[in-house]
Amino acid sequence: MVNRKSINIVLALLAAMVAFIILFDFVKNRPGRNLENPYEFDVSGFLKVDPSDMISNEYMTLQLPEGKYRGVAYHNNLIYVVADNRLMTVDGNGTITMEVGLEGSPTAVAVGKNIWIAFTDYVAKYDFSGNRIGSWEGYGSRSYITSMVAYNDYLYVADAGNRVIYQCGADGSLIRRIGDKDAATEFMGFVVPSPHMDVDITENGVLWASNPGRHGLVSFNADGTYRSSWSNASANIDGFCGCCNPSDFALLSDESFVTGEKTLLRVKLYDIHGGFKGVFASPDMFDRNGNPPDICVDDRDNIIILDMDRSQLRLFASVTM
Amino acid sequence: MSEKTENSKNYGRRDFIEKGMRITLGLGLAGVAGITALKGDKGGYVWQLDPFKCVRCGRCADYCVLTPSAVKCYHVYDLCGYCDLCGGYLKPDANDLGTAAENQLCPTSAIRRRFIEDPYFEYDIDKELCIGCGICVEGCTSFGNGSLHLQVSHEYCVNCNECAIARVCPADAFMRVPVSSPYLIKGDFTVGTATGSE
Repeated sequence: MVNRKSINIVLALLAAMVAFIILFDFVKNRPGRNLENPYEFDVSGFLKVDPSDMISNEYMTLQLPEGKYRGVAYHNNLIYVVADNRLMTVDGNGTITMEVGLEGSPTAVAVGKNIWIAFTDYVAKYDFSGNRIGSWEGYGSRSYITSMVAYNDYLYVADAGNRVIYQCGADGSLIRRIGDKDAATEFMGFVVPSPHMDVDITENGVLWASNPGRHGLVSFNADGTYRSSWSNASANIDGFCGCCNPSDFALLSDESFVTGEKTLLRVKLYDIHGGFKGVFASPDMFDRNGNPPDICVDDRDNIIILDMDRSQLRLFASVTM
Repeated sequence: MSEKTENSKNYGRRDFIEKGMRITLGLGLAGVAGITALKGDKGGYVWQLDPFKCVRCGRCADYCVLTPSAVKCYHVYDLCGYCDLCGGYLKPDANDLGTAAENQLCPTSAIRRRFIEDPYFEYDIDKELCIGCGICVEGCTSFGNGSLHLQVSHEYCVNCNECAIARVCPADAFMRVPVSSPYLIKGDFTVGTATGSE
């Protein structure tokens, strides 16, 4: 009798243990529970920037209407932004002074003697009232225009799809292709793994373009010949990592560079020789996995960042180097 | 009349309980069989994971009933930048952009790097070596175009009734998809458009 009672107690204890193990396993492994990942690749360290590297002074944020923003340019105290199917001009107080509808989805904007808007594979010209006054034929099915810059009577069009820059006249006539791979020159062509390729030009007409697959920038003379380049492929803060960086950039009046990067979104400053100077905006100042910012500079060297995920124009004070 | 009463009397409580038990048991068994049959017959469906939901938690490597896991890394070449500095292949602090083991992110060296032409490199996955840990996917997503992603490889998957990984997936990324289209490859669909049964 005693033996039977003992067996029952042992069985009951075993049953309780089994129930406990099942319950423990259920609680421990239930979906959503944050278990430690033995294979974790922690990239959070790259989202932080040493405070001593920060030169950030974001003095104003202009909230724009919700939209899918694609490009920004500055001209005569007005900021030009393109989004969805519209062009907007914004003054320094964030007031939208003009808004006009466009016939397609824009991919880039440039402002000079006219307003130029790219629509994936072709460019259209607008007057300052927003009236379309012309357009020219597309550059083919591979074309994907990601950036433009106006200089005197010329427009430089960066075609990331065809990996080339077109120098065009005011009427759209093609003057020359710049940046084609050519064994006779030192330049081995653009490497553009994803549609991010930017152009800007100095006051004396030196054209700079991002060469994102080689993690640097390259310059060309006014006649389109290769001039110089610099690059820095590195996961460190002073370099460019990922497959397509710098994705955007703008030139300051002293010809130093403000660069924007994709994936690890950040905006940095490099001197005229490509030397790292500091960070305007660190990754934690943007949405995680957001779109890379488009950048332009006003006539006082303040930096204007188009934050596409937050639909904001973020203004950073100029930095004296 | 009296005979009928006699029969009724013979059909006693014991008979009623026995008959009731038999019917209950029979219905129970039929029910269990029916549910099992319904659960077992997946109508040509297999397990797959939505790469846009995947959070690279590492559980695919450890919770599959197979060792190594049936979840493998897949490479969408159309999305790849063929970069020299590949975030999915190289450690961020790699000494050199080379194939030395200490430079590689993958713990099993399951990614093969092949020079195409300057500056392009192609990256292939050796599925025999891949354990589905997702480290390369995290690197590619964080630094690159996101062309590397995890998928349940049907060369290996035994299509359990209840996938052990799906049960613990924190992102609820697993679903059953028709056997006729068993993969959810990036580029073939966009975020939030993967269809299947949970």
